[in-house]
Amino acid sequence: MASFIIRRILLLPVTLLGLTFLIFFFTSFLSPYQLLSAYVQDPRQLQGGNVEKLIDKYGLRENFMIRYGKWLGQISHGNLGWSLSLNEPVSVVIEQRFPATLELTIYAIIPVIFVGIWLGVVASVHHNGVIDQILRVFALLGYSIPAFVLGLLILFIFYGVLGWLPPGRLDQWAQMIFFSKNFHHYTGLATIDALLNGNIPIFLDALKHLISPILTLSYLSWAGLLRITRSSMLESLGQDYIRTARAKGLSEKMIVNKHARRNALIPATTVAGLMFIGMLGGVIITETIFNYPGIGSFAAQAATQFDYAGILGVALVYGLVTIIGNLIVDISYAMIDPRVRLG
Amino acid sequence: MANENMLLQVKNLHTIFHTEDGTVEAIGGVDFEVKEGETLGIVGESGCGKSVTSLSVMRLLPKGIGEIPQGEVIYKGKNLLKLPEKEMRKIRGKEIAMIFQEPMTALNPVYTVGDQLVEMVELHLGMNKKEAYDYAIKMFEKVGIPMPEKRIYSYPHELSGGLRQRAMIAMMMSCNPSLLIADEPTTALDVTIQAQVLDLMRALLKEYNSSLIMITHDLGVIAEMAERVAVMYAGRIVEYADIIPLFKKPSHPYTVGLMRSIPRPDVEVDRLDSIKGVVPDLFHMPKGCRFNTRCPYTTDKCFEEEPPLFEVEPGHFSRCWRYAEMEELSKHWESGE
Amino acid sequence: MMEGFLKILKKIAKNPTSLAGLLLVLFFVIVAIFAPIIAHPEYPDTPYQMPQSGWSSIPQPPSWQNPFGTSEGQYDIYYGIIWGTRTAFKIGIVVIGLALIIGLFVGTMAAYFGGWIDEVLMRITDIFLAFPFLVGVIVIITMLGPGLTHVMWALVLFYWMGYARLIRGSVLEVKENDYVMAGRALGTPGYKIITRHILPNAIFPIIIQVSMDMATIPLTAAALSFLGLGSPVGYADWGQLVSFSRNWIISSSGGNPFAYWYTITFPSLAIILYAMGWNLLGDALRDIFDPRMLV
Ligand SMILES: Nc1ncnc2c1ncn2[C@@H]1O[C@H](COP(=O)(O)OP(=O)(O)OP(=O)(O)O)[C@@H](O)[C@H]1O
Ligand SMILES: [Mg+2]
Repeated sequence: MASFIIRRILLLPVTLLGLTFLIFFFTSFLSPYQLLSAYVQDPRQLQGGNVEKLIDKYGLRENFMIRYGKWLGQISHGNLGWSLSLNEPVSVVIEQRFPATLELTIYAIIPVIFVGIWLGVVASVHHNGVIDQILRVFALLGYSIPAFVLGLLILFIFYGVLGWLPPGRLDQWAQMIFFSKNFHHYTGLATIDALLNGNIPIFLDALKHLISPILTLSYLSWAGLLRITRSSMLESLGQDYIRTARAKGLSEKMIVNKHARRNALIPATTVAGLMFIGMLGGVIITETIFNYPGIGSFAAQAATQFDYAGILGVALVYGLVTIIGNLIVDISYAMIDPRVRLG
Repeated sequence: MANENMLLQVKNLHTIFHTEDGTVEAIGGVDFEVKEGETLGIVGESGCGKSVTSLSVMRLLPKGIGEIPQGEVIYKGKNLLKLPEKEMRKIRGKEIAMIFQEPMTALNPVYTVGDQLVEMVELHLGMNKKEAYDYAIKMFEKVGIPMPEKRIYSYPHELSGGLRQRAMIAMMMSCNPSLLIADEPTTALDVTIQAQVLDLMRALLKEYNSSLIMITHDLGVIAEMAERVAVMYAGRIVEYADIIPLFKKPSHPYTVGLMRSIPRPDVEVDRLDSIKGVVPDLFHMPKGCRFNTRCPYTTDKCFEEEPPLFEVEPGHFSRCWRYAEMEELSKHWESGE
Repeated sequence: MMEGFLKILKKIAKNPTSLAGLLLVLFFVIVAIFAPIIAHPEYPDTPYQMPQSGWSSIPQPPSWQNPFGTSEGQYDIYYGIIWGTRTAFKIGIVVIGLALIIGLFVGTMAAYFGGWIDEVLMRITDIFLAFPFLVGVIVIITMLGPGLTHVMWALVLFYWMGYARLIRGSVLEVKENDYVMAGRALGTPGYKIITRHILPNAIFPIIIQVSMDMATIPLTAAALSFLGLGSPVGYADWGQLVSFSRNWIISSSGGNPFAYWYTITFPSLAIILYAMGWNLLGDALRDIFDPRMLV
């Protein structure tokens, strides 16, 4: 087990290198002038006749491998360039916005994993019963309503009509407090920080803003995880080892919760991993709909405003998180399925 | 009839399956008995209902699909079919244990073999974890698994087929059951391992004085293990006798055919061809005797009416209209009549 | 082949939800094919351009002339939905077709030749998969600039991997079969083995996948249009219609948000029904081709 994890972690740098290569490869479409924004840290550097000098400095007319090498040097020093769309260094943008996105995705995925799997198990145990049928319709809708439609409908109902759940991350008054000097930012997550500061009104305000995006972001995942858990539970319940467990006189509870579920978790884990990656993509839409200031809305903004540095930075963050996500999936996989550990 | 040392009596057992294409009868009235310490062999081709019979006894038919509309399974005087599920769970594993054909799929791949044994003795023998693990090591030792204190921590995929089946036997014998049902326990193993596993089972049964229902399609295994034999065909018992009379005087053409398909060094037989055709499927059972599609000795009657179980001699039964002539008939198997 | 097709149809017809899926898909196919008749284009040269009945930004409710009302900018929603169906099919067919070709090529090469070719191709596939789909697509669109063609290229570039893996798996399975080995020993040429044995075997999982993707891909394109990265303003596209509605349905200006219900209802309905049709059909096909999943 330990050696499996170590092996996976040792592979990380290799994957990272491949990822940076792919990301930088996309910049081949750009002219040196367009690419330059990914290197400068302040637009004032571009004044006067500096542009050509900088292009030479960063080797933007050199061949691809040299460019790639120099860019790696830049990003390894934390220099991700200047975001044209937000007029800030990309690294600063990411630092500010990443916690917001993290907060959103964590709250979206954790209930999905626990409750979604549980519901899938329930559906399989009551195979073809009422609960099963309801969950089936619910899953079908999940597959068929794209996030941008669902998000807008939620916004329409809960904000447009009812006025309960406003877009954004915090109300005006809460923002004033949140960004004031004597409000400590321990984690960057608005809800947690509010609790740590003992400020319940801000906590509630942050929660109020989170509900709609969480619903939008996680609905598809609910449907997906539920369905896969249900069908793998059913498959698992039909296996020979379940018959053996019954022949041993084990109770139905033991059979479902121990013998069937552990096996059903194997495919569910893969799906949960894929879902997490899908959610990372999903925040682009969700955050845009709800004006939520995270990495996702930044990505959409950067893309529409030709903010090359911004989009490269976003791509790097996404790649990094995806790789870590995959690592977590692999490790949980190995914890569930002993057959993997040998491989 | 209610004999002192009678362990299990199956009376007029019927099992049906509700399938997508309709309801079918997989078992149509099966009777047999197992005495204490005795081994009953059930033999027959693939699909004739051996596994369904054993699953019916254990009440392990797939829920909502399999059903027992009629019959009795009397175990130690109690009708198991009438028992509440909770009581039945106390019988399974503790009183009646079961070994399956494919030890790879019958063991749960994500738990260690030790754990799968331990959960059973914790349940039935009320041991705590520590005692249960010590007990598991003892059981593994008993079934001849080398390095038992290490092997209990192995996962099924880490063991060879033979070891897996030994682990399965250790598990199923761990609660000292009065009756063991072994559904083709050696079919998936290669020949030398097969013999070892059969020896092991015999030794254990003797030690524990347990009875055995040995299910197989191999008459050779039956000859080695069983005292009494039920030959099954298409959901019916077609011949039922003690082992010696059965081999001496087979009284059903199906039994005759099966015997001819045992490879013997002295006679040259084409193993696969000795009974022509296949078991009819449950949706297309012939009228009359169910064996009439493949029997070389059919008469008109065989196509009209299903024969009852005739008593050939005391304790020897055959479901064939022509049981009395069978000795004579079987001499000309190839040519038919 | 024809017989098998009829058999599949019969099985679909037996199950009401499968039948609903098939009918929904057929409905949209008919709408797409007969779009010029159902919604007559005012400018036959640019039929995908939605006609505008005025310049006011305020949407107008359904009327005789605009049965589903108009969106902001006075685009006719009915026309947009009808021709948007064509857009959806166009995007689906082009993107899936190209992704399938790439996947077919990469998958068969990898499995058929094996060894280091397989290794290299699969590692490349992995790297592409290491990226969230939508993020990869957006990065490419940023580099290429927005527009429907660029969106389609970007989608293809990040969508072939699934097909490649699927096909590689099927080919490997078939490759083990004796008759293929025998064919190889007899010197049957490679392309013949591929078309005779390998493709027929891989075709069913591909059909299931394609059916699901006919929902996913056009909707992703619609999402990109929603973000302003897809079709140009005024192009008949469901995503764009939905994005037009955003500012009106949340009017916190004290106005009645229900006043503009039609701007979101009709485009959403089209999108949901379209996706549901393909998903149900995909489910039905999976049940038929892969009885293991029949639960
Ligand atoms: N779950 C089920 N649903 C429908 N029919 C079934 C089911 N299980 C078994 N049957 C049918 O019951 C009949 C008897 O099957 P059974 O498994 O008992 O055969 P068997 O004698 O054990 O054969 P084998 O030697 O292959 O194990 C077969 O025709 C089979 O198709
Ligand atoms: Mg069987």
